[in-house]
Amino acid sequence: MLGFLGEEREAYVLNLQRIAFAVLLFLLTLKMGQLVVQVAYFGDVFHMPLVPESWVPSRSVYWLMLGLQALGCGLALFNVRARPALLVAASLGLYGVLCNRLEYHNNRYELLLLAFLVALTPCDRQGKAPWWAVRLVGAQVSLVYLASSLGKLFDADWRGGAVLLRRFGNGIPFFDHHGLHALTPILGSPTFAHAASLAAIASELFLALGLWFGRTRALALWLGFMFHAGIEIAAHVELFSYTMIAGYIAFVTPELRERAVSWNIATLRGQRWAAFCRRLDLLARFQHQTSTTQQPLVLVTDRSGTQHAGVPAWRELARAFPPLFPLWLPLTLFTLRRPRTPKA
Amino acid sequence: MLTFFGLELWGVAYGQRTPDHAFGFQMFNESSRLTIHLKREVKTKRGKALVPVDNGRWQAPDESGAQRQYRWQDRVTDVGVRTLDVSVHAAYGLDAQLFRLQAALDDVASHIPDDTRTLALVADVETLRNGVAGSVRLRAAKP
Repeated sequence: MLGFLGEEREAYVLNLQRIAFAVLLFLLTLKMGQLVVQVAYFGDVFHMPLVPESWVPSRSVYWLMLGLQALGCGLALFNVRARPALLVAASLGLYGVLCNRLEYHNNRYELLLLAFLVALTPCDRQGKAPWWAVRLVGAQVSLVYLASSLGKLFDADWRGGAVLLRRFGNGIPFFDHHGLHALTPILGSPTFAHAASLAAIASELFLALGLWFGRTRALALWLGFMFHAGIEIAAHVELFSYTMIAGYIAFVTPELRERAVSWNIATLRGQRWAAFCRRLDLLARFQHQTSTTQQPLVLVTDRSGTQHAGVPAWRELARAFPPLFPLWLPLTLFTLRRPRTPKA
Repeated sequence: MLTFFGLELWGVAYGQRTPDHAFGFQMFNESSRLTIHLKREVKTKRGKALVPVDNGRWQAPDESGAQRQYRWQDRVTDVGVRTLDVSVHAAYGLDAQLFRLQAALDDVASHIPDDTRTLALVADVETLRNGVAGSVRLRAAKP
């Protein structure tokens, strides 16, 4: 049962996460510095420390902490003593939260925890790494959804729709202003709010659990991707969406270039797509090939060896390229009843 | 790793019990609002009276009789509780903001030792918890 502890797989995923969290933590560090400059240093004004007041750093020490945090992120990004550097950066950030609970935000805390956790894994290693390390990062992602969904499930106001009804109500003037009057009765309906609340709770529970099973993983990732894109557009919660999407990297298959994509470069369009495709392949999913003789613009060979052309090929590309991933489910539904093999 | 997740789960449990849900990952937990009306409790000839604090500013004499200026927002910079007389969204829920407001009142009350007139700071808060209206009064006496 504990055999997975000895399992080793490609370390690329962990390296990607190190880079992603180093960048995100660096951005958070900049934000904290900006707050000091534009608002005030929290230690000089009303704050609520979780540690004894005497442990709250002075303004100059806090600047030093932020400087070290930024340096740690930089070193982690360029894989120079990456693990201790990221560990120090995340630890300093967590200590900052303990010095002022007013600065506590779920998104910041989650980012700091993920960065801390990634620093504990062999995220600086090339080649193979123990798979349990990636699984722990995945567990951290799931834990957030689980805590959030259970909190909502056990809250009668949330479950009953009272919370979302008010939120939807806030949106009514916006839709009215844009002439979408038909939405007003829907957004103002307690029944709709109740149904939406149950759907939201179910979605978060599905995200917490669905990411762990092969059959539901792609759908859970797509749902999560869209969920966070929606949050980013509607609520813009600092770095939350980017943090969680970076966390999703823990759920991709670690083996690299097990699929192939071939572009017909006889045309300028094919040449451009081929170049663009290489850039989109952040997760190193494909062997990139070119041809001047193949009939279709693009041919994709999936892990099982099946070749796809036309819309199914684009579906396979969307599945593997994060920037195109929102298109995966629509393309999958579109191609459900179509033949999977190319005519060419 | 066990320590890490053990501490985190402890944090999640702690977050369920604490008013601001710190470490509890309770996202978008309420659609509540609050309007804070700040007042000063001052000594009068007939006893005590509540004096509204407009825009968070007030004047009061110090021991020497010289008038000094005070401003709520000079010490309270947290977005949720610095805004007065205007309805604002209660981030992390109403309990979170009331918890922070009480701490802010205590903090400001302890930082105005030169104000010889103010006995206490009082916040009359109009609340709207998930659409249900209410009110609450918080008070912090000068130490």
